[in-house]
Amino acid sequence: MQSKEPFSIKRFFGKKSNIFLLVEGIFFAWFIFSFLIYPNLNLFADVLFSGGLGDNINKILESERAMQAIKNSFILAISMCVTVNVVGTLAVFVTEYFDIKGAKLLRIGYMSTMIYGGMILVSGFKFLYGEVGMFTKLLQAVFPDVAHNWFEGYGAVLFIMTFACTTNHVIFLRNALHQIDYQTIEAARNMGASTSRILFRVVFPTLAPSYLSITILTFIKGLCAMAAPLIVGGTEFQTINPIVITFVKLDYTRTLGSVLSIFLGSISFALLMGLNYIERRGHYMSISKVKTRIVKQKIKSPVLNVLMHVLAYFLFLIYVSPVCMIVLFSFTNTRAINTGTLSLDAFTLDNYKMVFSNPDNYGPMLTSAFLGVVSVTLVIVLILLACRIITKYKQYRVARSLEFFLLIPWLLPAILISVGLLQTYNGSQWTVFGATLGGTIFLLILGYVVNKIPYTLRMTKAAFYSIDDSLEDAAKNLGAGGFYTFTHVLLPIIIPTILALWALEFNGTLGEYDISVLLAPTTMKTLGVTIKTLTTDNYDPNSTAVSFVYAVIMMIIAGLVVYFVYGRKGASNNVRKTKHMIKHIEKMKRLKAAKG
Amino acid sequence: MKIWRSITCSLLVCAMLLGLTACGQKDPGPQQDDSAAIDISGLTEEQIAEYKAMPLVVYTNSGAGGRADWWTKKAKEAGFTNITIVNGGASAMAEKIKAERENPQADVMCGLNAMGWTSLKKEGLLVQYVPVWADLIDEGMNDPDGYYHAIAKEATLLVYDKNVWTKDEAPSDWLDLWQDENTQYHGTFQCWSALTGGTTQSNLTGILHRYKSDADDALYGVSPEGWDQIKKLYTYGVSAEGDVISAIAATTGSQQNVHCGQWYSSGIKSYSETYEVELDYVVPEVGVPYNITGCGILKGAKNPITAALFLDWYGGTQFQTQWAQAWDTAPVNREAWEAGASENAKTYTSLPQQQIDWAWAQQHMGEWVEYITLQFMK
Repeated sequence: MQSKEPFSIKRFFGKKSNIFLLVEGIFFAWFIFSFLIYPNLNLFADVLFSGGLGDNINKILESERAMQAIKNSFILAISMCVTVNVVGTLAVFVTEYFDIKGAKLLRIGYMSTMIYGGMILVSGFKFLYGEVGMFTKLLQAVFPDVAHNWFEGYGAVLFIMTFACTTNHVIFLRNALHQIDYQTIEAARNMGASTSRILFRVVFPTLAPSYLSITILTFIKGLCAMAAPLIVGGTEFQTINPIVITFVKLDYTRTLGSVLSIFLGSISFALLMGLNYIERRGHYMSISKVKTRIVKQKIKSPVLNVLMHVLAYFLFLIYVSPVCMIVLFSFTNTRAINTGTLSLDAFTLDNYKMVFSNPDNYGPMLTSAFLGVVSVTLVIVLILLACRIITKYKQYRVARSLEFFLLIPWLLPAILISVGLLQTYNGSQWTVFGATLGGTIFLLILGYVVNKIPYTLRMTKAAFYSIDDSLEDAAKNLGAGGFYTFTHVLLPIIIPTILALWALEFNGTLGEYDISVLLAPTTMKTLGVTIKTLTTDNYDPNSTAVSFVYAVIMMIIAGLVVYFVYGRKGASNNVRKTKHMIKHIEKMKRLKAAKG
Repeated sequence: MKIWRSITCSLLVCAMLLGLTACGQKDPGPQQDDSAAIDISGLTEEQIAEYKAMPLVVYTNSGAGGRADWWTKKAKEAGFTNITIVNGGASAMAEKIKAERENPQADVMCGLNAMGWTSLKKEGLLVQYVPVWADLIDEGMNDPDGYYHAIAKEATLLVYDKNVWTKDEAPSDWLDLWQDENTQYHGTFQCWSALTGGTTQSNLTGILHRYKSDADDALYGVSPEGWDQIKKLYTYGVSAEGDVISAIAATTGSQQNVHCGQWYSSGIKSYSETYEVELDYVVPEVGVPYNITGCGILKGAKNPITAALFLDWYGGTQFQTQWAQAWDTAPVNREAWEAGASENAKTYTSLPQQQIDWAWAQQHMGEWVEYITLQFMK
């Protein structure tokens, strides 16, 4: 454990490793000030001191619609905390904990939300349950009384958001589940505990930290829901974020948009700080150092077993059908897409021809893939360094405030952050030693990096907390230096999380528009901007169909990335890495003994 | 171990230096005094060719659907061999120009609409230059001070399904749709779910302009009667789902009773073919609002002379004729309109024009969007 001795400058510089820490500290201070605080200072000052703050708050309070939308956002966020956890837990447990036939296939289905999201995901659901959707038509054929807009409002938004937001479970809860020491489960069983008792007394309590993080992230996602309420919310269930984004995009209403967005951001911020407090207070992981790999549990009751199988495949269908719909409709014309009618003559290859006949349409895919690789790798390296400081020196206030500052981008939507960066770094700027970043690729990458920081930090930190301190101490006692311990002991444990994060963030960058359009150098075309210019402005009625072709292409690229992270070795990775690490420690022990 | 440490150490230092060195080449800044109007009258043929070949960056929002590639090719053929066209949404490009004020990246902007141009001019982001074709444009479309000039026009029309209403049955103006006594129209049109689109803003302006008022009881430049109209629009309109033409085409679902709505003139033909509907349009007594795109040279342009040459070519009769033929637009350049516009485009763009004070609309648009979004939208 870290000693809690008071900070002493003399002792601090006395240690060699602290010079490294000092460099890190200076770097982060510079980075945070230059790219997180300084570009947004004007905006914050405008919001807080322009005198319009009271007016703006009044405007919101007086608007029935805005108040209702805020209320709805909270209702959605709270309900999602329940539903996402239920569905997410089911999805993870049927593939990883219980012995269900075809678990591999099921897992692929449950992971589908890793490769698409936002408007495309909601469109997929709408093809099925929307007013011209296939499922709706089927339903109406059986029950003629079903209203065409049955899939609208609170229930529909919650349904879509629930299935869209289980990604965190599928990645992080799964990782946590694999780190449970199976011996604890065995022991409980030997003492005669039932399946449910084991679940509720042994398994779930061990997973509590993961649940806590995921629940808070789910809450934030619910609060900031955008596509689902816009498309299926109807008049009764609109949420606040679409209003925020509309306001932020207009000069005149920007301050009002910022007020709302800082309000939403502060709630996320407060929740995360609360989570930090809980995490700091208790280090309650019961993860074993010498792990026994988890063995899948057979469900003994045949009735329950059948029920579980049915449920698992039912979930699978819900997850997979929207993806199939998008692929299917990418081969049809716009009329079929908008009216939901499929006939043989609606099928066409024209959409694909249009995209692939022009090199200008697929060159941007490479550009965006490159930008994704660079920026995601950068952000992950940055956050690993930060997490190292935050978790290692958690008793110092400086380390804690580092995290606080790194969460700043969560306060503002991407578009505002980009405008701030562009305005600040367009000319020569003293914070970057007089350089001009505007119009260069560096500013664009910076924009991506800054926007990814909060989520990456949150998830990486959760992974760091799952590491037992004694592992690090053991390595240290054996003579390993701080950096060696980090790269050879800690990193292998969290690598599954890091890779998953890498894949997720990369997939999110592929079609990014708001940041790219503002910060990209003039000669660079990113995929998001290309799609937008091909598909908006309504000039071409077929643009909707073309956007589905792009959706399919992005799903394929994203799917490949996920495959490389997950597909090959799968779950065994985790255990293998741990074994490797233990072997390493033993080897060092021997070396030390030989030296001695 | 030490190696690792020093590698990371140096990586961090490198990252810091990156900012210092990588983008250190600062541009010397515009060489010419850009507050003065540009004069290219004294150039010789050789000089022109030389200037044309210099780097030129053009921002535009009229490049969708393959147009940008098409006119890049045409521009290169015309001698602008070093041209780069950056295409994006109208508001995003305007935003970019404003944010790049201190270090302009572009020389020319093409597209936007009257409101966008008014705003750029007001913020002092344009340079005066009167292109050679300025006289071929109808009065009132170009900026009287010579900062921007008109390129193409597009009418925002109230279209309706011919097979549902005859000319007599159809409304004669937008306002007819939501009057309390006209119950036959209630529920037959969409109300806006977003106010950021160009067509929507031009339609909104067309409606509110009739209630323009400076009186004490006016709110955001519009009299209370005007706001009453908007309130009724939202009372009797149907929440939008999909674009207007697909709603008119829909025979089931929430949009099945929608028979009319706003559409931009150049999209009527292609969309009605796609959705197999027959459309007619309404010409209100006050006329129809026209969206007029334009072009102008941006302040801080690195090669203002190249930019001026480009403008002369871009809005000129030859290119605008080709453009109109290829993409079915309606150029405002009279010669190009005569020579290039299709019969269809001619029909739509010879309708009586509603006289609109676009500077007034630009001044209040933000307020309107905020007010309607917070108070009326459903």
